[in-house]
Amino acid sequence: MQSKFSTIGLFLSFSFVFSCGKTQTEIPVENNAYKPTPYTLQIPAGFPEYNVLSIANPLTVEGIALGKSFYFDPILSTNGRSCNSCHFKENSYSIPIYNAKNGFKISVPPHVNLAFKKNYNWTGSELDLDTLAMGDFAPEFFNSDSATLYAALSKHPFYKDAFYKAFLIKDIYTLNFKQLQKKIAYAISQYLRTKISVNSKYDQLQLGTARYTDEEWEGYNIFFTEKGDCFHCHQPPLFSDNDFHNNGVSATFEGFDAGRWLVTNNKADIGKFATPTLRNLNYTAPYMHDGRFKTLEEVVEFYNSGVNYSPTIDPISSKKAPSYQLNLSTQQKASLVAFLKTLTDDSYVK
Amino acid sequence: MVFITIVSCTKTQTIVEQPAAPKGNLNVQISHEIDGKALIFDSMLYHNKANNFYSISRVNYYISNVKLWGNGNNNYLFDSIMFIDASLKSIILNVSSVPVGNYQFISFNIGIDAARNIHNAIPNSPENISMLWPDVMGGGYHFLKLEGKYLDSLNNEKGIAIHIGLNSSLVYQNPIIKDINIAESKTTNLSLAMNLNEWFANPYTFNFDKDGNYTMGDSTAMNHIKNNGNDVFYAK
Repeated sequence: MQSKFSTIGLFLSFSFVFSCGKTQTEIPVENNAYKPTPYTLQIPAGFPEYNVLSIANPLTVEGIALGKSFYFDPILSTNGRSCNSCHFKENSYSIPIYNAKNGFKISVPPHVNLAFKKNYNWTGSELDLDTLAMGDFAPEFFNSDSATLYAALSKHPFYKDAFYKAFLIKDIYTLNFKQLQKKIAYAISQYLRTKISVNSKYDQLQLGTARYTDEEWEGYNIFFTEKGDCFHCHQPPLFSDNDFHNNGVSATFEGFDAGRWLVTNNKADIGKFATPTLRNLNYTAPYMHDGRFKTLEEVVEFYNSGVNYSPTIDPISSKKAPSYQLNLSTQQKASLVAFLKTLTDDSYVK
Repeated sequence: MVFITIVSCTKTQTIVEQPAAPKGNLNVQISHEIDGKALIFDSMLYHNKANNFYSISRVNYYISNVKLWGNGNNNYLFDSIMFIDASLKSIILNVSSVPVGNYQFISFNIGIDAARNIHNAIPNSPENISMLWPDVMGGGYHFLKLEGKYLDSLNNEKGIAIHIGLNSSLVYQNPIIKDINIAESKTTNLSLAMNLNEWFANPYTFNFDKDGNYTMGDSTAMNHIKNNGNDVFYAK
């Protein structure tokens, strides 16, 4: 599913061949005439159209409904937590800061447009949206207990029925605990794939239903030219390039600051983090992987005058080395912030 | 005429076939080198003709309009656009439905022709989403992203971002001489290599200190890179 190679043939021959490449151990289900209702994901114009669905876990109306219920229901945990406990709707399904048990301080990325990403979490530690929620059963999060979960789900009238409707599973006791977790993760994944945010003022501008102020236009021009050079990493429509960069936020790298290196153990990845989407920024403060900046003004000032050198700093961030300054005026910085705020989709959090 | 759509994630398959001349396929394996040695990313190992020491951290580009040249009018145009990420271990372009025959050259564009170099004219995937060229800078797509670091004349480590886009920067890769025999229902293999140093030499010796270490918005620099790009590939 993660093929970086695409072929677009037009004219006499037109072919798309993408390898989803997943081998899944399927759980036997009973033969029955009932089939879950297929769900067609409405992909907004310009969003990635390929490699965003899963063969192993096709979207269904019933699967999405089950996933949505799990997302908000503490039934999966023994500590009262649900996905929603760390992914608040009012924060675009993120949480300002999560203090992990290992001491890492993490600004949790929002659950927005996840279907179009290549990997997940700041370090890209998860490659598959289908199994992203598998880690949440761990003691640090849901602290799930096998016996408790089986009992709770099997006696719950909604979930017993919903499991059958979504996955044709009549009796969850036919699944071992890993298989059960996987099906739950699949359902949550289906729900997350439908969480698409594309109704910001920026989007409305593209549709011709909104107009920018002069200040927002100035910010737009800074963002999309070499003046601010934000666009190389924060490419529309995702406002992310689905890649990892060291943007110069740190000069040294302790703990979580080591970023992508924690996953790859490749020295070239020290200090690199997944490019976060800029969509719904108004609701996702504080900023950067560790939430070190409380406001967008602080973020812009960082890029304007605070970028640090380190051996793995991104080429885009170090084009003007040894100066790392954008030299934006006070008004230009305000304009850039004004533009960034136009990436907010208020309807997504209401 | 053959029209095939295979999108494995949605299991959609449409095949409409009419009687046609016998055909085969060509698999083009692409590799990336610097002066004959396999590219090693993120290593300050290389120097170009202008004697700039540099490293490479990213090579992304589009190949389009692959053309096989036979005798006389026996040419085959594979009207296609392919996104290349040089960091992948294996890069194979599948040129399908090639009429059976002998071909002597292969050519293609690096970039996207004007008709399709328009914002959102080609489908995006999570992989190629970073190739858009902003409308405010002319629109369309990056044709090439070649990024890394170099040591300037004062020994400062600077980023390099050799990006080209816009219609005037479409690179026409000169025909590469290679006997290519396409047999019916068979797949012929061909290996091509890009020598990255050719982007910085021949005919123009590109010097990061003098000509710039980033090219976007600099039409002169992009033009030098474009002209140098005509012969960056060779058959192995």
